[in-house]
Amino acid sequence: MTWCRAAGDPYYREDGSYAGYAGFCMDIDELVRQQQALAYSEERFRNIVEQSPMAIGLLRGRDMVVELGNDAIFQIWGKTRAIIGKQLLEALPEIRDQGFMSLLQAVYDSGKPFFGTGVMARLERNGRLEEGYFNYAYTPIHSAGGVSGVMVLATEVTDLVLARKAIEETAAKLRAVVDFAPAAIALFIGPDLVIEMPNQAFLNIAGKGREITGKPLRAAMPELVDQPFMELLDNVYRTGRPYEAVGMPGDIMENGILTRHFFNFSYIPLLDAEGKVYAILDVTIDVTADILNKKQLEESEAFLREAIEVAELATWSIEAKTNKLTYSRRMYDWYGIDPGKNDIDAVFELVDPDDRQRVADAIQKALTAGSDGIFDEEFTIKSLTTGRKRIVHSQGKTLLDAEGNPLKLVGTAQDITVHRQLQLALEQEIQQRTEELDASNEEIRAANEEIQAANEQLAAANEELAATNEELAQSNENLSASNQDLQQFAHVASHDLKEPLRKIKTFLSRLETDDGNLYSPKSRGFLEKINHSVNRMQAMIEGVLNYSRMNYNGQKIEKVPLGPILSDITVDLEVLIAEKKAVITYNDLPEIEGSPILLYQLFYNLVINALKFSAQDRPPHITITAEPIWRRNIHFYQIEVADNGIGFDQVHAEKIFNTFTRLNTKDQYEGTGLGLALCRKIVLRHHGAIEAIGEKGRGARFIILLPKHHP
Amino acid sequence: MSKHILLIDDDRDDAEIFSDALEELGMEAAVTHFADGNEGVQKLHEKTIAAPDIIFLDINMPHIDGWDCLRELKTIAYLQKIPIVMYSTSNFEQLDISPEDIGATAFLTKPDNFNELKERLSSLFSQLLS
Repeated sequence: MTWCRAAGDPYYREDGSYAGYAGFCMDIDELVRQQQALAYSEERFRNIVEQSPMAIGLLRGRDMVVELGNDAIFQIWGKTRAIIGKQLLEALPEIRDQGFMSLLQAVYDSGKPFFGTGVMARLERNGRLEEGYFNYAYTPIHSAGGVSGVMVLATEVTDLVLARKAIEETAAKLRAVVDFAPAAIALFIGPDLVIEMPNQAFLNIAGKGREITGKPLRAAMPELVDQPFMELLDNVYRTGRPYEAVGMPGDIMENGILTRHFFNFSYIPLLDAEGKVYAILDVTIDVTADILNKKQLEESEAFLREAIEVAELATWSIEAKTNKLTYSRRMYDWYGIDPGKNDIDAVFELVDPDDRQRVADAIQKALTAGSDGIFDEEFTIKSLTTGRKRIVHSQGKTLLDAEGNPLKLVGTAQDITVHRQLQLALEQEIQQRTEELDASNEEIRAANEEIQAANEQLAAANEELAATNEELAQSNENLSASNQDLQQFAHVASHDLKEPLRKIKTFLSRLETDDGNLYSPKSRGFLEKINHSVNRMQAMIEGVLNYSRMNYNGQKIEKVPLGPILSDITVDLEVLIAEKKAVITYNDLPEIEGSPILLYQLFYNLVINALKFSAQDRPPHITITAEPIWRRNIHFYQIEVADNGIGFDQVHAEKIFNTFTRLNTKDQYEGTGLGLALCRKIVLRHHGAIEAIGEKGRGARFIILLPKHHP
Repeated sequence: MSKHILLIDDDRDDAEIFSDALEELGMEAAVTHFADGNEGVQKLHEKTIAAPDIIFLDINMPHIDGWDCLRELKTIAYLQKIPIVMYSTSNFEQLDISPEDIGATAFLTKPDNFNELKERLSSLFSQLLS
């Protein structure tokens, strides 16, 4: 067959009738074949696309205009073919922010394909936004002018992904269940029993960390090697028969120490498709505490039995409902009754009549609902067979059922006959002793009374003493106050007395120098006497002032070397010493703690005293010496100021230290009568002592005791 | 040249002796005497008396004593350069302070001999009054 193209025109006669046909015919076979091939190719491509189980779509241009697609792709997109010719974003606005457009445009721009696996996309399908998972490929379509579009190939794998996630979740849940199971669970895989999936409980029991996962059991827990577990596991693996154990002991590492524990466990073989063992599931519970408790219970029971035996206790019980009495062997012996007798009344017959009712009432009370259920009585019984009497102490407690109703009274009884006899004897002895004690107590009480009387007298005396002390303190205070007043007075008086005296002297000096006045020699003598008296008065006032100032506290205490003090004094008294041709000797004088001003005054007064009371017929000779002495562990210096003056009668030795005391007439020896008083005051202020030893006409010695350290 | 010598002292006798001593020294001096410190301080404040060339200040006075009087005088501006002599029966040596410590120029213990007073005053004036 050949394809032709024919063309021709009919021609007609003049009358219009058909005359014939003239035309040409061209062989177009080749052309037709080519067209057919193209159409066929297109058709085939469309068919491939259409029939492909894979979703295929063609997107043209950078705007990704939907040009072609099969049912599968429209199904994925949730759209119909109506979107052909629309831009993808216009057709599927929901994908705008899901990143697909930028990926597509990247493929378009770069000409390089892109593949995605298990990628989630949210697409509007069946009238709602659905999540789907896809494997896809974006492939660039190359044309003569470069990339003209992108081919989208996609497979929906949503079901697969969801199924996988579901499996993963289930596995995770399972693992969580296993992990938090109180039982220790682990898998031992293969003949080497490699540890897999150990849960926390397993690790706790094993005393290991997660690092044992993947290690053979023998290597991970070497402490098991010599214990029966390994052989049991090997057996399970070899035979495929499970093994269960209850309360089996095993030694495991606990804080680095091999410790005995007890376990309930199951070794369950896991079989593969061929029915061969590939692993063992180990489920273990540590029952150490239970086992130990049980053992302890057994031990305490044994101990109790032994105790009952040792204490020679009888045991008994009474049923609440039936009053049926059961009792131990020892009670049979005491009562001498038939072991078969369970009648409580028969036993009551053997209780001493004096005790019987009390015991019966106590049992009744203990068995009454709502009571404390306690029975505790002592009573006498008599053996039916031997007639022997015993005192028994019986104690019991009522057991209750689940509803709290009394079930039975159980108890023990003890033969306390000997105990009571001993007690009686002891009580008698105590009574006797007590009487003796009472007697001696009486004596002690009498003695106590005497002591108390004496004490009362003492207390009274004490009170008197306290009162006296208070009075003393009061008068001391008064004294100190009046002393202060006196000092104040002396100071003010002296000061005010000085003023008029000074004026008298000044005006006297003016009288004497007033050239306009001519005095007779007699008047001049009077003036002289006035002047003399004023001078004396001034000296006395100065003395009183010094004496009163002595009381001022706050004198600075320092180390005072006495040598320099004496040399200062000799310098200050130079004129008088020269006038009297006096010789003053002192050597090696010590240093003592005190007030330099007061110590100067002390020795100044003593030296001037010695100069003043010198004898007419010989020049004064004054010697000052010192030597250390100890009194009551205190270091003193005994300092002596001796002269060869007129001395004094020893009977006046004390008096000369009093204020305004004079032993000599004013005409012979001037003085204020304050010098030595001041000396004593200074010495006393230095916690020392002073005394005078005199011999009339021969001289005087002043002995001063001063502590080296000011206390 | 005449000097104005101001004595603030409540003791009339002392003031008389002081004037006599100046007179015997041949000083041409006007002596003003106040019976108490307050009066002197007030008059100096008000400048109702001539500015003194030297002030003698007694210590034991009624109402306001010499020490307080001195403090008051030191607050008066025009007296800042005027010498002030503390003039008292007190034995200044026992006080253990120097005149400068309290802002005075000199201490003078009232002597009990007239000639001695003249000598002391004469010596003071030759030092303090040029």
